[in-house]
Amino acid sequence: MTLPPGPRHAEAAAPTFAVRTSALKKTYKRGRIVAVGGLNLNVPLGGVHGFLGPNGSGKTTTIRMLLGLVRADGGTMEVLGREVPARLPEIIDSVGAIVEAPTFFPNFSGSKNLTILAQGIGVPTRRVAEVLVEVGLGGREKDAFRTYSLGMKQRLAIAATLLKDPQLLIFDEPTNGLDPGGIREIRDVMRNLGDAGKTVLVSSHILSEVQQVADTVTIIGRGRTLAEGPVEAILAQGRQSVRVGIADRDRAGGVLTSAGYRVVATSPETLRVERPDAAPDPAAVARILGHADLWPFELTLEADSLEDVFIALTTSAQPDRPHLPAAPFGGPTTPQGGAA
Amino acid sequence: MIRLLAAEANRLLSRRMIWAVVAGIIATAGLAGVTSYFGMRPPSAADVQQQQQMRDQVLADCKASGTSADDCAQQVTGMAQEVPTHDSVMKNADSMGGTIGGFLALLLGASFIGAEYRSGSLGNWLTFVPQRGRVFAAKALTVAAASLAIGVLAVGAAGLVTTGFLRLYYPAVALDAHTLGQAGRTSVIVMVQGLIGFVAALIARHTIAALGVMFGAQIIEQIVTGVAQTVRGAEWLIPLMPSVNANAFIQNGYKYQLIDLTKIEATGGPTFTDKILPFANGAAYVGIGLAVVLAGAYLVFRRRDVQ
Repeated sequence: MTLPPGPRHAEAAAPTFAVRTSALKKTYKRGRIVAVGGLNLNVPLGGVHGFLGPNGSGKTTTIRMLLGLVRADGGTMEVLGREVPARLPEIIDSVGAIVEAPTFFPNFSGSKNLTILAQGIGVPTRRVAEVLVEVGLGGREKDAFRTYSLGMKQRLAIAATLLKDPQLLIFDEPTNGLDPGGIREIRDVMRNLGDAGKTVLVSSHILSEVQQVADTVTIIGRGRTLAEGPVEAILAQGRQSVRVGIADRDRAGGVLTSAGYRVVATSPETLRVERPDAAPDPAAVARILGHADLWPFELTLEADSLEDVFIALTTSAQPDRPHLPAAPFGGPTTPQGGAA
Repeated sequence: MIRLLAAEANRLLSRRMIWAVVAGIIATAGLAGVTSYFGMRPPSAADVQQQQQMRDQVLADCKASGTSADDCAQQVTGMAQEVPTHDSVMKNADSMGGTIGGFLALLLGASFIGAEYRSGSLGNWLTFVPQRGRVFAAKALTVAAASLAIGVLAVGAAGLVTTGFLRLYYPAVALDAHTLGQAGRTSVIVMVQGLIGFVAALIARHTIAALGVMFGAQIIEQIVTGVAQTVRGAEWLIPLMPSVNANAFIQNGYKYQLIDLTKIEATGGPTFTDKILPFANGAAYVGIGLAVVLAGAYLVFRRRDVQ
């Protein structure tokens, strides 16, 4: 199945996807622990892609496999159109990654750490000072890495990825442990990179953050794809309802039920109104109530957040429970989840 | 590859451990100086007179006991302080430089990769340079070069100080050119020790664990050698021991002894049999052994998941 690219940079030439995996598998302890169990991941080229899943769902393991740090037991992986890990060296200069906590030599300064990296990849060492200024570490570059705050460590890690001027940036839980200011800073960095035509793959379990910054998402659970697609499409899979505030709650409930709506009383004067097959239209609800001479004082469209959808999906991914199908990018909703 | 080597060299020279190595080399030179000063210092006139009196006394007592004159003369022969040779003092200098240098190289090699595993920076490094073969080669070559430098400096410092004192005390003693070869081979063994430390830490993923394994291996080797020297039928183990082969390589052949305890009643003590392990055996053992160890470490490094 050929899937169209992401929403913000649809004009990007081949390869169409920044990252693709098919039936990717990784187990530990001779197969007894399944970290990734047949994952299909499709990250469109350009924009910010959220890679979501609860702790232990296989996000970091997947990222490590993409970067050649961990060997896959099965399946295939492509990064920027090259099969990895075999052809990873061909595209590594176009890939910047921060996997979990930033890891540098603790006794070396930020500048020394980056200088060694720059030497290793053949980047002029003058670029080190430039990227340090870019991430706001200009005054602290001579301090030992171990003296940096968590936010500074993250910024140094971002500076390291910028040494390469990458087309694909992979951030694994980049806001872990950061204060609200730091979180916003990282979010802005990711958004700016995405808007500049780069592909940002960000794994996280802080969904409100991802919802604000991502164009597309993949939700995984127990090492398998549960849903993927544009954020709007994923959100559309969630529950949408109209909250109705009305004095004669019981009669309003009866009228709406007769009209085919599912109605739940949530307080003495409010109802939650849903349609089993589609999102309810507040105007239609108002019309039906008006014909019955019922006049609501509140009509509010309510939609599940990404977090609600995520919880629904990951909960339904538990064994013996059905889960929602994946929503391919721009295509019809078809069952596509994890292989195997 | 050149840029990887430059990056690894930069990292190695920026480590605090390098100062410990420098201090160790200076300490080696100092220790060689102290040892030479006290060990080679010619006796004073008073010392000579005192030694002569002691010899005369021993000789007189010997003759009084009815021993022949020749046997008595032989008894006092070893009582005079001999003029050291350059070869004999350089063996001590090589041993000192090799021991301290070897330990420093082991520490440096182990901590060089151990620190990367401990800090997690190896994973970061591999996201920049994913070619594990090149990464391994660059690290191993850096450790080898640094360890060889440590060997040359430690053995050279001890040798120079020792030779200096020898020339100071005994200007007439001829310098032995062959000692340079031995010093060079000792430096090679120091390099091998550095690489062994590197490999041990790479496999153990921890500096201290690697050092523990190395010291444990040394103890086991000593026990096995001791048993093999005395237990009949186990003597074939001795030529397989790493230290014996290293000594054969350094000393251009190594003489070791087998101890026979079965004839104590007849001879009044254990019987010693000298055996020689040739230089070629030692050189082949060191060369092939190092190649096998490095190849094994590379396979581990290439296949291992990096967390």
